[in-house]
Amino acid sequence: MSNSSPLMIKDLSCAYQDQPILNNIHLEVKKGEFMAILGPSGGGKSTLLRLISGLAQARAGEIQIAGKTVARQGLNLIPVEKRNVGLVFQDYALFPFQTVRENIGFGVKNDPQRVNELLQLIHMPHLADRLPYQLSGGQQQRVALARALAPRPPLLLLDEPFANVDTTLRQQLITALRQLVAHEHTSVILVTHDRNEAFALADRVAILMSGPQGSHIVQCATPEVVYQQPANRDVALLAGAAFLLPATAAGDSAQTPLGTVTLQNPQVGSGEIVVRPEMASFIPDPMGNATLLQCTFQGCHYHLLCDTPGGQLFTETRSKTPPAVGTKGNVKIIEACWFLPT
Amino acid sequence: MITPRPTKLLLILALLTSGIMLLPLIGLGLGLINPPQNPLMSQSSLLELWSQGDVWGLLINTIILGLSVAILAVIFGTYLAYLSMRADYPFQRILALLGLLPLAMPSYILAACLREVLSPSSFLGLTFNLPFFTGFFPVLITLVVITTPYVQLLVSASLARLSGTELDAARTLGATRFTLFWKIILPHARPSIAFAFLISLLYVVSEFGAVSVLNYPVLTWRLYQAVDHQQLAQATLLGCSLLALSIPMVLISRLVHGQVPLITQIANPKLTTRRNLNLTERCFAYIMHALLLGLGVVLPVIVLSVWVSNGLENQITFAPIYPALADSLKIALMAAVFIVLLSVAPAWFVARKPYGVGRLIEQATYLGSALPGVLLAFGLMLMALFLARSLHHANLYALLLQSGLLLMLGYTLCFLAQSYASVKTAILRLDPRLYDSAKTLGASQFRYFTRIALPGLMPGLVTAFILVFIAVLKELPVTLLLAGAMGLRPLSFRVFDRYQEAFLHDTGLAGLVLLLLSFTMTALILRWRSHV
Repeated sequence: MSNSSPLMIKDLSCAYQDQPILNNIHLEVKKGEFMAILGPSGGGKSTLLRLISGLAQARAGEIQIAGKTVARQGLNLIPVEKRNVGLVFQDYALFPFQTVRENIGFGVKNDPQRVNELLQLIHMPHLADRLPYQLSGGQQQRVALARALAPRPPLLLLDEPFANVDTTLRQQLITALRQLVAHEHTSVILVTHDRNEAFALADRVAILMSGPQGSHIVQCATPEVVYQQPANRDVALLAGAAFLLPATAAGDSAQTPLGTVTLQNPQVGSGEIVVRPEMASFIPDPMGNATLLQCTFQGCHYHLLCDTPGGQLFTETRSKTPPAVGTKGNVKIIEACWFLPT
Repeated sequence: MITPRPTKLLLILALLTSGIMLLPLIGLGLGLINPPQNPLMSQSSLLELWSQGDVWGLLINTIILGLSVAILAVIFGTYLAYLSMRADYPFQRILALLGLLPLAMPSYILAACLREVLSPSSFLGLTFNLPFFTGFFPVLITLVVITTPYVQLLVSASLARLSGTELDAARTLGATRFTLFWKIILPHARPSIAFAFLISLLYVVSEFGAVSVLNYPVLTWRLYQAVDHQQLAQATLLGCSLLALSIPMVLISRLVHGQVPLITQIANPKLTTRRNLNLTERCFAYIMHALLLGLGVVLPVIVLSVWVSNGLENQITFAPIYPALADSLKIALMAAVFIVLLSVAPAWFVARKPYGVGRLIEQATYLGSALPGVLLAFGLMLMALFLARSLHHANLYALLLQSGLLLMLGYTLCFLAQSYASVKTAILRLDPRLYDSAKTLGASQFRYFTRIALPGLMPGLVTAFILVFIAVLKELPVTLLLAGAMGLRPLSFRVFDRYQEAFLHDTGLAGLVLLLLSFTMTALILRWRSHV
């Protein structure tokens, strides 16, 4: 590990009036990396960003930004205004009495060139003299991003920035954000409860889960690993639609109510396997032990809810003529599954 | 949606109510065209009256006093608002609340008490060899103490709408404490500060109590003196000058007030972290609180108590307090019921139809509250005089005065806006879907009003009642000019009258009872509001 990482967090804990919020957080963000912190609402994700930016104070642990220790053992060594960390809020928090140009230039008082550069980057030079209320939601968000990036921070923190925008605009903004961040070579931490957002943007995803001692990171890996090889059942369910089927592992295969299944991670003992809809298939058979309960159109495929000896699970079919509800058949697991020991 | 539409009857009632606001203006207009003359005095032209009355001097005095008070009140009030919304120090919340108590203090009582404490014969006067405490500076101090809480309330409300994330965003961008205040906080509060400045200015232009007690020559005080001495032509001229000074300020203040919500609606209100004050800042904050609370509440209570105690010690006979108390309660109760009932029609109409005629009705309703009480009372008197003259009914003027109608109309002119604002807010809070639901369930208009609307309106109606009740208790110029003919001598009248005659023991007793009532009702309304 290098000390000049844009962000290094060690043993960070935080509480509010004796109520633990974060517990023993370890995190490192590499240069130019896009890290997403994914977790349920109210799990302390935004608090983590406030601790990093210096807007809140930790109870214990250490935070280093670009190699400098900014907080240690409950003390903010460098105040928020001197940390040079960009922060984009969920509601954007644009200054309503300042124009777009003034908002972007707020952190770089004597650098009009930088402001013009960012205005070009967000394709808004023609709107530079407008006030925030004269902009659309998407435009406001781009201004908030440009404002946070203007002082060239080594680290940009995004607090659920797409929470208030519709799906179409979200796609456009995600593309714009990727371009902007790539241009600025800034490391980014995105906080979200939306797995699609996290998977679409992040190089790595850290899963923050609540616990009695406060929330802690249970897994930090690439989106693919988080999805395919979740650390536990909570992560498996958070990362996407999943069915957890009881199983007894014996090396590289396991016995389940749906038959023998190949395992990605050879194990021995009892536990559960993670079955995603695309990993199972419904094969019509009048003598089968499963029944099709529901069939919903998803655009490029159908989701089939099946009643099986192991319980109700979703499968997928790309057939243009899906079987009728009530059809008898068998559910077959067609891919190697991830085993979670109990 | 089938939301209730204002009926024609409601429109007529609303127009009639807001039309009351025009009566004193019509009276003054008629007075200007055909100046009323006192048969015992020689007739003079308006130009002669203008120079005789030194109207220019009075205008300048009024403007200078208004500007001085407004500037100081804005500085102190904004500072206190900042302390109450953004700073953290021991006893901050309770001090912020106590700081609003001077709102319940009638200016004439405060002025009389300050004059007593700083008179040449007082302890402080003898120690520091003070001159007579009258004129500009004493009035300035009194009115700054009275108006600062108004500014504090208005600016606090705008600071409460300041988004916490905005401040956080500025801090992450490296903003210093000064930049935060100058570039983020101040622009947010600017429309409210401008409005508070104008409101303070209007308050001072309308002020009567302190200027009369401290004998500072301004338009309102001279107008009262002219009416009191039956110099009606001179009074008409002074009244019109006062009106000409007030109207532009009223218009500007309405314009500025219109800008306040437009700009603040963008912010997403979130609780912001408060800033811990250092020792010097804390000392300064405590001194500020102590000065305002001391001058605005503690000092008057002590002085009034000393007057009463001196009276008891010297075995002076007190004038019976019960008749004054009964008159006060009777007048306040009657006026509060009268005004709250009157305010329902315009409030309902404007809530349902805020544009066009609705806007006009609203502007007319607010007009009275912004104009000096002494001017409104005199305008009504003139109107009644012209009515009696045009109907050739010699006794009509006396009848109108003695019946109490003019008094009730005078209070209505002054306080209809307070009641209207509370009632309208309550009406706007009524969910229009409730009406839709009631209609789909077959309810009649009457059943909807009694079973659904009225219970929902009750908090607003009670608030309006208490607000008007307190205001009438403390009111002085309308009471002085219009209550006397009915033989009523309420507490405010007693305080003013007995003080002028130097019966300090009676002044003290009446003042204490008035303050007790006023503070109790203010506490009641704060408690009531926290419950609803």
